[in-house]
Amino acid sequence: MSGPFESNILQFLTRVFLVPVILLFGIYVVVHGEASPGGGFQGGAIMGAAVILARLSLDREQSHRLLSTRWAIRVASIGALITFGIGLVPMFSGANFLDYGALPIPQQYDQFLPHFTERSIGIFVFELGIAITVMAVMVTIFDYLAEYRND
Amino acid sequence: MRGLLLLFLAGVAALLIWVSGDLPDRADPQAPANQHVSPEYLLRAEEDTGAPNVVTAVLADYRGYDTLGELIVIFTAGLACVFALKAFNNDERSL
Repeated sequence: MSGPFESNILQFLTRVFLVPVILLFGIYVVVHGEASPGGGFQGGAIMGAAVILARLSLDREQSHRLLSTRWAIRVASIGALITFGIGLVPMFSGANFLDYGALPIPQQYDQFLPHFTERSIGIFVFELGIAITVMAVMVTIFDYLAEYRND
Repeated sequence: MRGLLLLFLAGVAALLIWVSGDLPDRADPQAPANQHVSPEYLLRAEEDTGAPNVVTAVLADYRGYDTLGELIVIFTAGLACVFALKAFNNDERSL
């Protein structure tokens, strides 16, 4: 396999070990944002760093299979829509914008998830949208700056 | 002219450093910034929001609107990068 560096060890370790582990750690930081230091921005930056690592060390086609430039800005829009959407959902039942207490979580799940209040789910979806957008914007800026040629 | 400018800047910097000594100590409980809503947030974050991390509770619940503005700033930065640099890159990718 070829790439910027003709080294099988680098390709293999990055593709098999580093990028998945960094992505998983980023998802961990996002999901545990309510209980430990973390949250949307931090986890999104870590996930973006994983994709940029793939860009730097792997083949162009392989790293674009992870997240291509064409899809990166669309994924950023989707993340912003998720965050806005979870703010708009309470308005459909008359509450204020970003009022997570009015989210329509079915009451039958309360016995299975005793600690998950509506606010907790609202905060989680909010942070998830932020993380997706931050990761995609990091990849977008890196791609467009890396290809910039002032000929 | 340039020496005068440097002197003026040094004077402004000295004035700012001297005035900053009047600010309250870091994490002073009696500071005005820690008096109004901060104790309420610290006391009621876990029972109001269900999040033990008060930083996330303030960022995403109490002050979620500001975090939304922050997100729009980040997204606009990416969008500005796309629109400003698209003309210089070759046309392998389309938006």
